[in-house]
Amino acid sequence: MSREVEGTGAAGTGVDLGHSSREEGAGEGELSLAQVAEVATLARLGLERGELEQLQKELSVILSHISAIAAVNTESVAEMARVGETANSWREDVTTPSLPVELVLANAPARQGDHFLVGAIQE
Amino acid sequence: MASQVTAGPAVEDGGAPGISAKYEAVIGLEVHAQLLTESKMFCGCRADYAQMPPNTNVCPVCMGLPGALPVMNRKAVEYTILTALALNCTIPEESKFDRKNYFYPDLPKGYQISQYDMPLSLNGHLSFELEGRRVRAGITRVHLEEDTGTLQHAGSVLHTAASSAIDYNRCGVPLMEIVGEPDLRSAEEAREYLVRLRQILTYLGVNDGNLETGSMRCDANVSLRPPGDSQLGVKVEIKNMNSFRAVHRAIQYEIARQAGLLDMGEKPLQETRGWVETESRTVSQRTKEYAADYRYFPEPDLPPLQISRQLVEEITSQMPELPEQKAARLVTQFGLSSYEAGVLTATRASADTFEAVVAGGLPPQAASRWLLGDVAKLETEHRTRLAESGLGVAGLVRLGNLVEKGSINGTTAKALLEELFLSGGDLDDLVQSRGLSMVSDAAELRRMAEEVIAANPKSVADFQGGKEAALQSLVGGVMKLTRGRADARAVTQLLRELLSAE
Amino acid sequence: MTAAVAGTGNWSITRLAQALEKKELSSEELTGAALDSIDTWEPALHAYLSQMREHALDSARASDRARLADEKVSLLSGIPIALKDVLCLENQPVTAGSRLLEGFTSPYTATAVARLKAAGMVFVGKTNCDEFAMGSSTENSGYGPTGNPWDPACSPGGSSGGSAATVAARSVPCSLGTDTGGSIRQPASLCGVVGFKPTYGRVSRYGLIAFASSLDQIGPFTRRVEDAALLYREMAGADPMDSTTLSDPVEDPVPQLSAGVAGLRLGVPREYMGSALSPGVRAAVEAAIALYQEQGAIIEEVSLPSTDLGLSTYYVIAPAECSSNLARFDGVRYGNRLPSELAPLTEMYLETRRKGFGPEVKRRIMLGTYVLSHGYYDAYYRKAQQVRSLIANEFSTVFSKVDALIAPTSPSVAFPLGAKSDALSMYMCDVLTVPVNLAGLPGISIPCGFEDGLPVGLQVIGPRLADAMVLRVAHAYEEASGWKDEAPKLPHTLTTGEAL
Repeated sequence: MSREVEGTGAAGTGVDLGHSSREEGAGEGELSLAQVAEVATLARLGLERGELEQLQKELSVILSHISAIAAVNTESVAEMARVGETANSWREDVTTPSLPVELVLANAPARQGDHFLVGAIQE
Repeated sequence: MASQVTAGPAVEDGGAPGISAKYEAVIGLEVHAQLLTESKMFCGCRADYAQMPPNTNVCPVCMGLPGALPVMNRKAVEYTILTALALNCTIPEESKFDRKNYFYPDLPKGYQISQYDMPLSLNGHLSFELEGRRVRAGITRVHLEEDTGTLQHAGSVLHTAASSAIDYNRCGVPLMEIVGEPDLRSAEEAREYLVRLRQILTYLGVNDGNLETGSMRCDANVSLRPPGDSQLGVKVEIKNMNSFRAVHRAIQYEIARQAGLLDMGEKPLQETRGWVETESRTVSQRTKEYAADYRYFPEPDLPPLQISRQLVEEITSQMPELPEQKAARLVTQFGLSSYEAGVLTATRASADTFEAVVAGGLPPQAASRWLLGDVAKLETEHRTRLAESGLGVAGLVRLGNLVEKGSINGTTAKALLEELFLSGGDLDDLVQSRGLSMVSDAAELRRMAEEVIAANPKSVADFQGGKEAALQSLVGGVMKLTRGRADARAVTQLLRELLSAE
Repeated sequence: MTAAVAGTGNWSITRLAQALEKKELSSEELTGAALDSIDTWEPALHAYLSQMREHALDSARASDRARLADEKVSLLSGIPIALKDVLCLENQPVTAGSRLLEGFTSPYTATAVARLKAAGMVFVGKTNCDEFAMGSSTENSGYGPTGNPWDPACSPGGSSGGSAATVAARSVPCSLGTDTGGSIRQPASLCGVVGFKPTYGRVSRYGLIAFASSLDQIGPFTRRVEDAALLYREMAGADPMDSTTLSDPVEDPVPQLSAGVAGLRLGVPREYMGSALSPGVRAAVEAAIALYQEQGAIIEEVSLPSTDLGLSTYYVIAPAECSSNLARFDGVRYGNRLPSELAPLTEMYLETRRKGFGPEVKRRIMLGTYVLSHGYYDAYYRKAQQVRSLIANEFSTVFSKVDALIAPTSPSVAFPLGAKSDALSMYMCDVLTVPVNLAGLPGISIPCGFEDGLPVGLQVIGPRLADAMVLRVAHAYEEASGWKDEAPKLPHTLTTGEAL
């Protein structure tokens, strides 16, 4: 898979318009353990080998069921990302009160003053 | 048009572009600009978060609390379309928001709401004059997204910090991304592109154009290739450039660095590099543990956008005069030089000031002279705009016109300008109370001239004996008597008359 | 329990409201009885994740004072209601059935909940559910499963199992649930109560912890169709905080509830009556169809050929959206951070999400992440969106011929807890409910009989925005049949205390 290098968290790092099609994905439903591990990493799920192996089996079964859709003729069928399309559902540019800072931080697992705190970012 | 570059060590400002014809630089800029809306992109918190204590500009929506949903800010959509139109983009009738999924502590939802394959605008360009030639840089797209929170790293360096503190005040501020085509060929072109782009954004009033505070941010993609080659070389992305100077220097450095590698037969790595201002170089940003896969998909919480042609027309009708048009008009309408027009239109505020001063009744040439000269100096020195100074636009018009009418002389005017600029006050009162107005009463001037003639028989004799220079000392004498409040030319004329009559 | 409250367990909201209005009954008494009943049933059901006794009694007394002062109050004022624990209520815990959110308190209130609060309703507690509403049995709750009042060894269905069970147990007259692929209708069916999923976009999702944004919808559990109509009417309508709510005016379903079905065309989708139905379910639904015919409805067999693609489509779209919706549970701003406060970020993400999420949630995040990932998007996500269009179009075509559809809600009745051990067989529970979510239609499940002593549910499905029609068709059956008064008995093990 060709991939884009992840941003540093500064918003936006441009766009990669390369949603490419890999038809072999659907229709086969077989996942390698390495693929499962890669997906777990993308989803930030720390899974142990046993869990990965279990998921490899389960996901393969589910994907093979899902692959039923691959056979459907969808030529010139519109994609439906949402139902009840109401276009331009926007608000006027008006400010409303923010939350009191104590409520913002009320559930913080760790804080430093009025900041949220996380451990070392070593990516 | 391509300028050739050469390999070389770190580049100093103004360093001459090399003379080698080996490589052509290919540069594209990605610019992020925070929009000057009242509220955030998807909630009612304030878009202007500057000076706010940490985490006080936050609500369930922008801090990504469970259950919260985004609602788009109409103004932000309109500002983006306005900008896109100013950059000659086309506005598709349909647009939508997508989720860009990645984990980072400054991104509360675990995804950024952005635009992927149906942006608000496409296919524009920005063209400008540089060193006598016209540069046309394509704009791939202008789209809309949301800003992230801000991180402070203990010990200031990300990689060694034991912890990082997060403030979500900035999170969700509308952020416009202007993606440029790789059409720029030198650091100078890149800098000028950015200058012109900022000028347009500030003219439109959609962004404050501040690279230092990060309300406007610029990343550059730089690659080299043999001149005339149509294929792109290995692309390096440069970040952390917080000023126009940094953009210029970083790109110069990067071109030289890549050329050096190519000269040695090495290929630059496709990577992201950060500009380190203090070291005047770019450094590779640590390769992430994980490669990214943003898994873009349509944002299900936001219905799509249908941009009617009527809305586009409405927005078009609000388009202010853009800097290039304005400069051209100042030349034709007021007879300014293109240099003067260019400087006066550098910002919308300065152009507006010029037009206000002219509209107030000061002749355009005088207005230009004042604004580009003494007023500009005072504005810079005291970090105060004319309009906010004690003098004000109306004050400058009156002061300038006193000079035009010959009521006060230039020296007096300059002194008054500074005093009024800094402390305010009534111009007429000052002129009156200090007796600064010119001695324009012909009888009085004549009396003074006669007094000087009577007191300087030698100079009179010298002059009458053919020594033209002797007249100057007599003029000086009269000027001294008036304490400088006379027009020297008029005094000279008067003395000639009196002496020839004798 | 006071004498006034005795026997009110089966009353409709309208009847309770009349009693409150006439001061024959106070909300404090009614609420107290509800709280007592919850306590009585809880050991067998585990229907609640948190109770709000003091908060509820305070609200009840406030409602009583308003009525005593002859203030104009809503019909719903003083009526107790339970909330599925995916709905936010200010200053109250909300867990979504997840260990990751244990101890989390919401600083704001969901719009739908706020509207009921404004009407004076009394919130008695937050009900158990499958973690992040992902499941069909409530066994995926991070806090243990809920039992079915008809047989506590059986599942109440899910994901809104706690909300269905507490209404079935007659502890409260109503509750709220959420329905993403059947999570209201299926537990309503398995618990023998009314469960209504409105048209997508009719009830605001603001403050509902999202599972799959394009499918989620809030709706009521009640014992009467009329009660569902009352709650729906109160909650429905555009919300400036949810851009997907519809701006169309809300049609009041109450006045037309009793209009009957004479002359209405009711479709029975062939694909919903297939071989997967258990015999008792088939028999009950066929009997219901016959009863509709007796009431004057014109029954037509119709076809929705893509029905069998519903599950496949759903299990691409729902996991894809959930993988993104659940990314915010990263331990940075809230939630149980693991392994330690200042562990390195990556380790913290991995551990927090590994331990905080249960197996089903992780499975769906994995599935969703995969189908959206580079190289697979077109084959799965884009394709599923297209099939979703086909499914929605088929419904549209059918609704040009019939006024509503009638079908079973679930292929089978309540199953023993632990019986469905593999994911796919659990997913099959939703085969008759997911197409409705994919198309964004209104659907309701109402009791229509029993199989082996366990309730069977009848599903009524209508065209988009025909919520009133769905309620009317359901109401006609409810009136004509006698199921609404059937109530489960308190298990013998629990009957030592005072029962209703």
